[in-house]
Amino acid sequence: MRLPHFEYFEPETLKSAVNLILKNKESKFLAGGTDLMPKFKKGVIRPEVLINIKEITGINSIKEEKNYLKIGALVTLGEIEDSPLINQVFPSIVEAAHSVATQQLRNTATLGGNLCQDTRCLYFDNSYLFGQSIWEKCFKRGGNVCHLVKKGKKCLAVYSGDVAPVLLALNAKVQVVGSSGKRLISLSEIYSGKGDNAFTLLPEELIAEIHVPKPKPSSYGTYVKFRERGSIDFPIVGIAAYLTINKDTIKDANIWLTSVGSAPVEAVEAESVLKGANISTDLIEKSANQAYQQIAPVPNHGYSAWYIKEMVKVFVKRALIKVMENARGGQS
Amino acid sequence: MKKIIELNVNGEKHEVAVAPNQTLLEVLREDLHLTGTKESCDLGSCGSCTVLMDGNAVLACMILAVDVKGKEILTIEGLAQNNELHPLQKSFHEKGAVQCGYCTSGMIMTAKAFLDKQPNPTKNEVKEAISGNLCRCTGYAKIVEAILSVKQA
Repeated sequence: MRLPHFEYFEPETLKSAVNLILKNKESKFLAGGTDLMPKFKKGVIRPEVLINIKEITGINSIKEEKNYLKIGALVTLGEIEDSPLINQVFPSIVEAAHSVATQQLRNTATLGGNLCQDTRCLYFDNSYLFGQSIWEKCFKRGGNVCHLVKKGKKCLAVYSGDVAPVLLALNAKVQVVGSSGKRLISLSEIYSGKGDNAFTLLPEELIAEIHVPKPKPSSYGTYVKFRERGSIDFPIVGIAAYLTINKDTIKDANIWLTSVGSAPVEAVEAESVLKGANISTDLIEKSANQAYQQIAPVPNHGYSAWYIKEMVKVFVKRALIKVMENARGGQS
Repeated sequence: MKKIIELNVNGEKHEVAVAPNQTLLEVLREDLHLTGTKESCDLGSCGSCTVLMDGNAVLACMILAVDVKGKEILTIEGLAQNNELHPLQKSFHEKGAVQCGYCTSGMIMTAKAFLDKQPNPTKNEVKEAISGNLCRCTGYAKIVEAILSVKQA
């Protein structure tokens, strides 16, 4: 599969990257390229201009500051796995990064790109096979019909990034750079929840840095991922749990799910059951049931919504058990 | 428009004129005639085109050639030194880890990057390391065996 022709730029500063994308319509940022390239090759997307942001300096390192760990958007998932600092402070981020795709892809895929990974759809991603010209345009292509769910009223493409739920559970912030300068927002704000327009960022905006607040004492996290094969695959469901546990009492709980909707979802009910309660098998069961009640999965993986919902229960349970085992072992 | 870039492949410097839409894989195979690196899915799923970039295993089909300037690329052709096969190549040969051979160059490059980082892996670690390289003939048993035998050597 050959790539079609496109214009190519390599800006060296964030400012010139933003200016270039403002000047060129139908342009896209290129970092690791692992999400963009396959779609571009298949003709699912057709940017006329690619702006390679990898030459930009200052956003490709991991820095420790007093209250934050700052990870540059260009840091690759492979570098996160190998970073002694992140392994020590946030093993759950490493778990999530390690669960993405394969080693070869992780060595090129960047954290910023992973967070802004496009939503996936069984129809849209494979639309090159179906002779697009004779089909009515789907929501994601700017039309108003869904070819996946009959009479679907909106785009049902699924967000299935692995690292985002972990960073959301850790209350991470992102530094976004655009035409009006820099702004620091909570990571959850960049997800719009719409399948066809998954991000609230403007086309010219990009993530420069990810700020993760240092962990509270005696807090423990994990990421569990359910997928077809032990490697390569996207999650059918992914669960990040982050609990603060004092003796046997849960002080604080954050549970985020990925791959169940067009944005990562916080299992609010499951969290509130846990907060202030004492650890017990019943409690884990109760919390998992709350997640089961709340989550309304989108059947866009080849699995029924019923099945994904059942698996949410199983994997929330597994995530909580894993965190509590970590707490008992004293591993953060 | 084509751009002239310097590619450092297997320790040799090449000046090549590349168009922005050429991937590293296309340039390696078609311009430098290094056809040991294979093209298969061309979509980043199979691992056939694995090469090492600054020591890390990456997929040559997912990387634009213009983006590789200043990096050191190692392909399967650069493994043998002084007419002597690399230990991994030898063990793949001796253990019969090759059937049709199409996945082999990618498999060996992934294994090399992995063993360089982790010289003493367990069987499960080896299996995980090569999980990004698909082989449709061998069933992987002999490939894992071949990689493990290099570790003991």
